[in-house]
Amino acid sequence: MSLSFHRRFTASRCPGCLWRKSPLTMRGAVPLTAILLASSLAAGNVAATDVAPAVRAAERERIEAIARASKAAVAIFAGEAGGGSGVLVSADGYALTNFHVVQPAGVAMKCGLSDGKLHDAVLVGLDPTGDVALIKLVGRDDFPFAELADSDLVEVGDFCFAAGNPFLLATDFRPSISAGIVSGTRRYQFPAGTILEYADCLQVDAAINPGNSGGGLFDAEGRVIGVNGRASFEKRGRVNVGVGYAISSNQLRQFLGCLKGGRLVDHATLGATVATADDGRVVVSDILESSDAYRRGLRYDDEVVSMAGRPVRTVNALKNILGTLPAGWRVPLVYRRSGRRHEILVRLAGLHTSGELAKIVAGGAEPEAPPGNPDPDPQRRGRPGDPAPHGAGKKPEVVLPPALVGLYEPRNGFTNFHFNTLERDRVGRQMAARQPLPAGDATWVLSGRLEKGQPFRIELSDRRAMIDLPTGTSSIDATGELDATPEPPGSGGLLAALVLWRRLLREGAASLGRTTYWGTVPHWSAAAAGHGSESTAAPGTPGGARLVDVLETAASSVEGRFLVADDGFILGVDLWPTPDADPCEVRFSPGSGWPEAMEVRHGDEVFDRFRIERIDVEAPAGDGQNGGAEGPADGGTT
Amino acid sequence: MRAKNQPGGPPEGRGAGGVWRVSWLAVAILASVWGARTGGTEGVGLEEEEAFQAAAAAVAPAVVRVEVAGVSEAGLGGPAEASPAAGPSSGFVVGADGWVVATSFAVPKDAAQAVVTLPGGDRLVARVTGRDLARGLVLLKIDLPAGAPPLPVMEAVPRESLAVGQWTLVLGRAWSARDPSVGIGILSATNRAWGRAVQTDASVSPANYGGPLVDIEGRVIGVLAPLPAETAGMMAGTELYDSGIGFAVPLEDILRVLPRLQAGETLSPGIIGIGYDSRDPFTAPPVVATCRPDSPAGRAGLRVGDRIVEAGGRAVSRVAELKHAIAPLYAGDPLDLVVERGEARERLPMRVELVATLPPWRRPVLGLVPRRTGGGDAAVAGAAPPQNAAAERGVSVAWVWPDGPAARAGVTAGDRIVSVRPQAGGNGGEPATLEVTSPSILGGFLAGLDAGAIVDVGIERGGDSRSIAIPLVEQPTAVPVGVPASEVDPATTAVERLGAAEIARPAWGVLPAATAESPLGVLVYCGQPAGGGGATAKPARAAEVDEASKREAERWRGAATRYGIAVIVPQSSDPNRWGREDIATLARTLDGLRLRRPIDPSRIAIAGSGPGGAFAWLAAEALGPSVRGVALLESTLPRQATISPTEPGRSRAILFGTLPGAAVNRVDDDRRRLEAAGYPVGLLPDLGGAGLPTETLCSWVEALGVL
Amino acid sequence: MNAGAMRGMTVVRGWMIVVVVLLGNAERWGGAEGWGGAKAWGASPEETIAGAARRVVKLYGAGGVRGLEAYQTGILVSPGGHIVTVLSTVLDSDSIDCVLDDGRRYPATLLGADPRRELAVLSIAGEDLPCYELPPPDQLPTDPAEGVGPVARVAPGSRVFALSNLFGVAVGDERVSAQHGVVSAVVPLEARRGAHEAPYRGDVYILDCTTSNPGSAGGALVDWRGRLVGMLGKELRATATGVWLNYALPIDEVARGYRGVLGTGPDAGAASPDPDTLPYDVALLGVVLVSDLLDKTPPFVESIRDGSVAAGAGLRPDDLLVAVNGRSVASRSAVQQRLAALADGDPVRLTVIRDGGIVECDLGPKPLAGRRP
Repeated sequence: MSLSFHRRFTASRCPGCLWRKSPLTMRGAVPLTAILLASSLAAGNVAATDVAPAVRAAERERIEAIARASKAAVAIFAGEAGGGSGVLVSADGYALTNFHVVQPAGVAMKCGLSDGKLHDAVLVGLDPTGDVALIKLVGRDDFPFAELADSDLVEVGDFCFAAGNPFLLATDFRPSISAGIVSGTRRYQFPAGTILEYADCLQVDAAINPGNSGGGLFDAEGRVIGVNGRASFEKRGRVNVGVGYAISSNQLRQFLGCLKGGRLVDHATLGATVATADDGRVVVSDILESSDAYRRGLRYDDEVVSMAGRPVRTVNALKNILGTLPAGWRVPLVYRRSGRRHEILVRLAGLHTSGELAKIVAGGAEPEAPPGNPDPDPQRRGRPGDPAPHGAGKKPEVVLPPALVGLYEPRNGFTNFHFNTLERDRVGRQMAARQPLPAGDATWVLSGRLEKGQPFRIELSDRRAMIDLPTGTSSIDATGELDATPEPPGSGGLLAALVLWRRLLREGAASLGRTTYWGTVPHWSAAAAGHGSESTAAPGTPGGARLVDVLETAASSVEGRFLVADDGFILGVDLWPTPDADPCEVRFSPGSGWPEAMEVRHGDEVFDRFRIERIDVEAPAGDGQNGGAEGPADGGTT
Repeated sequence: MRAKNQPGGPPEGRGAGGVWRVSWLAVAILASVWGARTGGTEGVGLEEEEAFQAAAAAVAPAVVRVEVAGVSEAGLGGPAEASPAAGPSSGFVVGADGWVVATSFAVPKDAAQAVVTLPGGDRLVARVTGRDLARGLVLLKIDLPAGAPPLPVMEAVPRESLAVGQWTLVLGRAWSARDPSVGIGILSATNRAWGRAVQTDASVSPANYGGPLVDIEGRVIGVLAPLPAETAGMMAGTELYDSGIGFAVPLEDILRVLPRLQAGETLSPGIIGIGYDSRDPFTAPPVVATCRPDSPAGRAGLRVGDRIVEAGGRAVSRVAELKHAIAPLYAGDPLDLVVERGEARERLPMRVELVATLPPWRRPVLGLVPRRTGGGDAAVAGAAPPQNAAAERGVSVAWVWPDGPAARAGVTAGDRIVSVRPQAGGNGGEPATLEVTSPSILGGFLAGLDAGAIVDVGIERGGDSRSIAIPLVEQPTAVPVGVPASEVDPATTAVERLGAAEIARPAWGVLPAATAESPLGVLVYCGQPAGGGGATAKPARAAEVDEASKREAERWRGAATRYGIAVIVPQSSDPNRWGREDIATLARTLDGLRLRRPIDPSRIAIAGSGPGGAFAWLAAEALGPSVRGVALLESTLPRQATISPTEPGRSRAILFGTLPGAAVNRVDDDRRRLEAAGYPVGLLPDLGGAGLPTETLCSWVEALGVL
Repeated sequence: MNAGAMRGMTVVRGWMIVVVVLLGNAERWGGAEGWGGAKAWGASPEETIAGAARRVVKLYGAGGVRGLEAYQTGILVSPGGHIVTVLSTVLDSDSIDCVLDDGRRYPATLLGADPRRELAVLSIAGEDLPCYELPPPDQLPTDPAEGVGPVARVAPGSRVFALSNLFGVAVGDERVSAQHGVVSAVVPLEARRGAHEAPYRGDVYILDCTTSNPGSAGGALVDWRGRLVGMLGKELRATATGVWLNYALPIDEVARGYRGVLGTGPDAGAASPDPDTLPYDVALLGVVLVSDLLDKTPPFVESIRDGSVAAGAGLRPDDLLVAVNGRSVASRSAVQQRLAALADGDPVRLTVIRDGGIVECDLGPKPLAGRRP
């Protein structure tokens, strides 16, 4: 026995031997190990094996990236309702998480950071359809945060890691890190009812467990490529099976503006359904006549070629594109009819009425759980039998902790209107800084030439707006409520648009009627319609447009939207004389101070392009009839 | 594709020129690029592979196979679904002369010996010398045959040198004696299980429990163990196998206590003996809500209301931080605390000596039953306070226990308890008056006292208020007679399915009407298994079974309505037996019930008859302290039932109901064990074939709310 | 990201284009020159996966019933459209749909199956399809050291990618899912699902990534060099512990099964399950074990028949059996199965615990079932 024992024991280094035969282990490491091993057996102690420098270096890089990302990781605690994860995306404390994580928490929640400190946080914006929520942590203005990467660059096989609070194990607030690879990109995961739809999402084999919901998915450099929110749990009850899903950072970026505006954001719908034809083409199988796509010319059986700059080869592909767009955006769509290619800009409608969304958020209409059930809340279900708060599932009354007082303002259609005011004023300040304005009730006279060379003259005062065109002169009353007559004819309401523009410039965002912050939209610079654009692309925005702020204002029946560049220049005005008509779209090209040119579109037509050669600001005059007779001291005379 | 963002340069490398020009460079530059992108170029990827295998080979000689011999499966039948119950596992050498550490998964507490298989296949019988109950580890000793070389002992990685994100390997030997099994992952966290473990995302499962967690250099970080994720209510920890969440006890910590384990000690988690008001340890400050006189805390002089500000020399501001200070310690270890007390926030240093168990706790009561309230205590974060708490002061008395202390002291229904104050000697020093705002506050206060203590109770009746001295007694065991019942028409009570997406055979619920001001008690009744029980019973059609349990439910309509009790009649998923999976289903059913009706957390009970009795007990154990009563009719405790002694907030009333003569001995035996462990055990008057005593049981549930 | 790195990226992209070109050739010439072109693989994890994914197909068939999915995965093993996959209820269908990586959809027909390995061979009417060509039987790698062309056996600790149609999340031209891990161990399979015991008892790769998912069965296991090393197995639980098993059938077994089904290999006709998986009565050795009361009765010796082999080998009442021929036995039934696994006439060695020590007992050749010594 003892003899055989001895023999076999020495044979027990066999693993080493076996592996040494492997072609993968020819080099240094193993033989050396064997030596160490032998010595160790004698000494009864083992020294470390030697590790290739490249391996150490790669490990060090990963450790550093993870350390950076961990600082931005948020452990969200919703008291009895459980909790989840989040990720900080700005130094002033904005953090992204899942709608299904914050819903049970209500407006206020506690957030732990990896330094062990606990912060109060307030709900800012919600996107129930995309299962996204934006919250703001308070108590610092220098929060560590992670940068949003371009998730369109992510490839299957890329290294990635999740930082979050699975099963609320982060009792010290330091996140649990799980690493893996990207298993799939552009996955489509069906919604639960009409919400919690995961479109164009990333699939990873990094462990995503209940409680990871809302936490960041990071690339090798520690930048956010997604927000984890969903996993296939059915197999093992509530435990990871190597299949997790994350909302892509590019979808998040497209919603961030709307969310920061404290809105209750809806997702886009085309107003048409598509199906795969026998020959594999994706064709329109049904379309609403009220939809903008229909007005732009899309019809039954047209083949959808691409949307928002991305090819459409399967029905899922279109679902994936639509699922990442906010309602109200306008994106290029390319379709083919009897061989001919058509490019249109389509304004996307909302999936829900704001009433429906509000109901869902209130927890009134809780959706049936989808297969890959997003699970915010390991705690309550995990500790069966624990008393839940009264009427769990219904929205609790708002009891704000001291730190959050003044940071929450309820309003219909919004998640937290306080933040809309903040954003509106921010944009207001930018405009004020950009545009030096003539004092008092001056009359502005814009003159120059049209595209075909004929002259034009536009006169804007507080009392009226008038335009001289080769085709004739038209004017509208600019006092009080704007009248909705779309003057000049064919422009869709250019004069009204310019009056709003002047009012915004003179009065500023805050005092101008009912003005709110809408969010951000992709800006198609002049001559947009699908022909690409020279403007610098923000990663992930469709067709290489850049995202710009939008203010929304309403004066009587007239509705207007202003596109404002981050330098405060007003890039454009969209004006709806009546809600269901096509708007008049004015796009200004920046000059020094005043715009240099403007393009006016209505529906599918370009009304005209105006080259603005001079702008005369006339001192408050008796009446504008003789406008332009005398120019300002510096300006020449006509 | 990043090239997209690169002005100039061939867009996406298109254009043959661009392609060929760069292609020959690629190999050279690839490495650096990959280093940046994935932390592993192909080159590094394969070099890493070598490193994995080298590290594994270095530690392999110290990894053994461990299995128990001669132990049979216990507990409920049926396959281990959610969590594996037993089986071959692994162990790790910690002493050259035959010391091996393994987990209590591999060597459960009823096993005194195990079989260890060394690398190479030699089997040796190992005896259990010591256990670390706080970390779920067991120390084994094997006697090496004469002439055998010493076992290899590995060095431990110092805990402070660990970095989250570093490579971790998990090794085991359960699969085959010849080769160890290898898994790869990274270090996920360094301070888990309240400071007792580190975390890895490598696949940890029964196959490598007891095996080592190894770094890329082949140094040992710790020993893999299935630690329960308490925050997720996981009892065994094995539920998490292969989930990307695995734990290892640092080897350093094990070596520190190795001598004690070698000396045959059993190391237990240390208990301090206080309870907190909030169930949210992450945000709530460590303010003492319950503190037993006979606990370490009580002996050290802590009092209800004290706020602990320092533990073990570290400042603590949340319950969670205090748990981090306590959990790594063992019974017998000292812990220095600093508490703040009273308005003056006077700082009092004190030293507590942790203990393994507290003497059983016999719940002391005044003998009055407060009006029902929901779970809406001050403690419940984020929730609106329940209406009644806002409207009224104190706790209003629904009825008083027939000739209990309160009754004798003249307390009557409708009185309102507004304050309590223990008479001197209650808890050291001069006692403070506590304002009573909810039954749970009153309950917490009483939990900190012992039967026999006298309490001055501030009472409001009509306009005037008075203070009455009332002596506490142990929670009565009998089912009281004359429990007030309402005259509501049973027709108003709904009998409906309590279904949910994932539940195959939904339970039937008898749901009386209720409001937030008068929530329902809950009684779960488990009778015969769905199929009628007995492997012999012919498989009944699902529909029939469903009908049967609906009839079962209907029998409760009357009593349930009179006493405002929601009665749940679950169906077993296996037609012939109640099983583990039914407990999970029951938990979900209860969650579902809370969304339909307001529930009074102080009146939740489970009753079972025949085969359902044993299930009722196991379900209550699994569901935790929120179950306040268990009734076993014509049934006894399951074999191998472990009875843990009661603690403040962790006690429940037990009720036995037997047919004349039936299995009385077993019942008496169970009864003795339960009473010894501190549970109030009552006996139903003989069922005498009078059928199911629904009235008695429902009034018993109502009476569970006694304070 | 700094400019240098950016340039690096540009380079990589350019280079990857080249790789794709080479791959194109490799695929086209696949039939002609065996496994040529494989060297071009493995530029990076991304390329390795992309290369493998072209050779993996999504299969749709019967099922959809509770707990049984109607989809799984297959591996292309001939340019003409032979596919290996697992034998499962999904294939119990007249119309099996096969969708390639590029979205092309073919009807597939079942050529045959190896019930013991639970391996099936399908065929689609394609040509010049990207594939792994399985080597002929005489060139099968069985040792980790050997590894030819695009197929190889690998050792524990080897890095692998698992590609499969898990949860059916990929449809049309969407790429199957990729998971990463290492080969944890190479051990004989002992697994069940419910009452069903897996017939295959040969070696499998145990993996440290979760591949026991709906739809994963039949998926490809490739190493970091892009070589096919195995085929993902079914959703089974380990007999010993009841945990879900993540395992793959090693490439050599896949190839044997494949050639066997085609009738071109040594296993031709060996498509019948092992005869000797029926329990073996220990009494034939003269050993009487304590009777089977609980789910899992420990194999204590009740009595030993005088003059039996067991008596001769020194077995005694109250001995506790812990192993049969070195393999652990935790229960009575395990003892019977282990003995059954031995061929008649094989030497039998029982390991028992007696008085706190291990005792090995050699019982000589295993008596033929049905015949008493």
